[in-house]
Amino acid sequence: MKGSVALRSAGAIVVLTTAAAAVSAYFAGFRYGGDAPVFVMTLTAAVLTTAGVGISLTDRSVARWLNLTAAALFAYLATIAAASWYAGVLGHRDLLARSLVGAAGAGYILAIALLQACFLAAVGRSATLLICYAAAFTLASVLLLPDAAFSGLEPVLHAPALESAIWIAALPWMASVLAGPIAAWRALARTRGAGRHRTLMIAVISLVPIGTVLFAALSALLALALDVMSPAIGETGQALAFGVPFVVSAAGLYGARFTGPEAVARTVTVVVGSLIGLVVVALSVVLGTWLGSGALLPIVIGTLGVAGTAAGVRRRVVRQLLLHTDPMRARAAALVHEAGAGGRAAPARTAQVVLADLDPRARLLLRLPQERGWADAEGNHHPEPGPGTSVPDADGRIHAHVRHTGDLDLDGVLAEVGMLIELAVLEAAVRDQEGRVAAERARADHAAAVERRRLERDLHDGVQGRLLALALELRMAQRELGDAAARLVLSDAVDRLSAAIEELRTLASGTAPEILTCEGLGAALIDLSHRMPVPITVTAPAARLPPETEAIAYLVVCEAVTNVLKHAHAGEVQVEVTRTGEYAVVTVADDGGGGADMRAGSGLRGLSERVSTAGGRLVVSDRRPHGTLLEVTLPCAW
Amino acid sequence: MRVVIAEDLVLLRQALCRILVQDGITVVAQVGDADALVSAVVSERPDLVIADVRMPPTFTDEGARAALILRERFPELAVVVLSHVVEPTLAMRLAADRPARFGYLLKDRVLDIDDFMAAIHRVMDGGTALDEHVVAHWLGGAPRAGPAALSAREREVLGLLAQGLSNVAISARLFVSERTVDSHLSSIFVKLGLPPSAEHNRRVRAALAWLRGETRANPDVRPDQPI
Repeated sequence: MKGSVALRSAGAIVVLTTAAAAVSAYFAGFRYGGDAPVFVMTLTAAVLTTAGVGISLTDRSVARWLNLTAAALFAYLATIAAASWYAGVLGHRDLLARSLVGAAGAGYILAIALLQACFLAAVGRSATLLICYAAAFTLASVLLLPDAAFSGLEPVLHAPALESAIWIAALPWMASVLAGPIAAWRALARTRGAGRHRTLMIAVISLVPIGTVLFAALSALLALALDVMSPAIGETGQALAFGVPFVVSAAGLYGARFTGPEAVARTVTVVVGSLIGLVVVALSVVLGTWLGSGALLPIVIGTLGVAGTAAGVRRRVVRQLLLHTDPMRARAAALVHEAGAGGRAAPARTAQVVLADLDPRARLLLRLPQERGWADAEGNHHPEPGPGTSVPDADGRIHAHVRHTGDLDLDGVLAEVGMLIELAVLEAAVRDQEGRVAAERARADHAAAVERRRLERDLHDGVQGRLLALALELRMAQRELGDAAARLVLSDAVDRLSAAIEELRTLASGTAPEILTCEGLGAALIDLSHRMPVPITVTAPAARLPPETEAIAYLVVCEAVTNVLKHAHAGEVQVEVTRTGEYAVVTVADDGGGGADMRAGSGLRGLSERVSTAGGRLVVSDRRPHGTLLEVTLPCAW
Repeated sequence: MRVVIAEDLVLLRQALCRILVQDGITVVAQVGDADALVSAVVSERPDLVIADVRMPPTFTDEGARAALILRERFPELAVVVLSHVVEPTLAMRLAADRPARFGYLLKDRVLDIDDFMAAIHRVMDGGTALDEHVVAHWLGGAPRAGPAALSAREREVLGLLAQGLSNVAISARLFVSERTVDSHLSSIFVKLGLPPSAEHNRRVRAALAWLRGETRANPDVRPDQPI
């Protein structure tokens, strides 16, 4: 590693020394454009960047072409320095001078072709043909083209007839700037998975050379149009058009090592940023010269403008690029957009619909908390996720899974439905929890029902039977006794026993029917009213009361209605339940004979005792013109 | 008169037995479960069976099922089923379309010994005794026939008829003359579209069938037509 660092440092020193030599010729008085400081500086930067990136890239083929590019750029720089000194400053006109000048004039040809070779290699295309052509063309240019800057210097081979042929031969080379972009954008159509992002980045980067050349040409045209063209502007334009593509492309290729939308975003930032920066610099120089106020003001305004729009532009550009390069993702995005707010209201189903659109057998599975397995969009339970693609959450934990067979690339699609899936996972967890609570409650209700039936049976077949037998004995004793007073006492005892038996029956069978626990007091009372021989009007709040209050209230109404049926000969009964704050009020009104008295009927007395045990109060009164009103107040807070 | 009592609770069974004996009825067998009941009926050939609905071993409806089998097998046998709770559906199923010689009573009814014995005798004489709770349930659930709905008094009379009470018993219960009961009954039968009949058992059967919603209004007899 140390050696490599030393080697790099040595290489950098050689490059910088060469650059210094080229610039020194400029300051020594020989100026022909190629040795202009601004051009040499950008060329030097291009050499150092391409070499730096070329060394660190792991992709061997790209690295090789990039290193060759760096070498070609350095050779170009070196021949500029050599030609400037040997033929320019020192004024030699021999074969070496002619060769050096030829090389300094044509060196960029091979470098530019090599940059395209990097792009081609990055998308897996062969660049041999292009490079062979470029090398041949370069050689021809070195040998045949004169350089006007070196007055009186003949080309190596003097053949004016071939000059026009050279210019025709230049056309395919010029067109080769399109080779990288065309190959990369075509590769996008067939690339899949993670590789797509990389291809996308290469495609974007490969546009840089064209972009920079266009901007440089446009600014030159602008300068000409404004009549402010100067050697300085020309040199700057040349430097930008030639140097920037290498720097930006090398940086982009470095960034393309990474995959994922973030890397694409970074690459696009670099590319769009440098292109916009280029526009700002070019326009600033031209406009600054034209305005005569220097380049400061346009640069400030331009930079602020770029900073303000870059983030938004970049996001939109990245998204459009990603959608463009991934038809499945674009389809998913369209479906999600179509579903809109309704889709977010049913996230699991929407995500499932989007996935099924790609593969009808694809099934979204959402991981349930506490290792409770997986649930699909319909809420069905799956113990195992099966084959397919795992979906990680923001923290990288697998929180969902798309079950599918075969090679289905879901990266782009998941980026579109990721938010929906996140919502769906939450929804599934909540639903699962609710289901468990409901199942738990059903189990408890069932156990309670079983227990109640057992209790009921024990009461009927045990206590109730014994009480009945006892009452029957007393009744027979009463009939056999001669003493009227004793008979009266026994008769009263039998009546009380009879009332107790009836109360026991109500207690055992009527405490809390299923409908009361499941659907509430209102439903239970309406059900009760349907089973009674007189019309009963029920008014009850829709909201549930505490279970204990509901149970007592139901019992009260049962007893009260039974009493009405037994004693009042009523034509109609009105039952009303209202809740006022901490209390529930139950009223049972009939239009019967009235005259109910707490002291007379053991049923009412028993009911009153039950109500006061629960912390409530029972009041019986006569109605006008006839009938009875029973009013019970029960606490709602237990 | 020969009776078999099936009741698993010994105390209650003995008390029942004493009431019957006091009334001059012969209790030929006392049993505690359904199997013993069937055996006793086969061997003793009684006139009447009094059976508890729930008996060992499961305490669900052994007595009721035994009663169904016995009624099927011995059409002349009178059966009174006693229950701790009112189960209107079960009662109606047992009575079916053959309410004669059948009774279904809440056990508490035995405490009113005179009424209970009257019911026993009624069933033994070929009549019906359905607990008033059962009738009230079916009367409450019966469809109300629009403008021709029964008056409160008529419903009362229909209820007592369905319980199995005779015209005399109904008139005594309601403190009205027998003629009044007669006219109520004919009015009820016209309103409900039931075939008029002078025979008590057929009237009871018709009333029960109507209560169960089996008989639809006779299209030939419009309730609102003058007769």
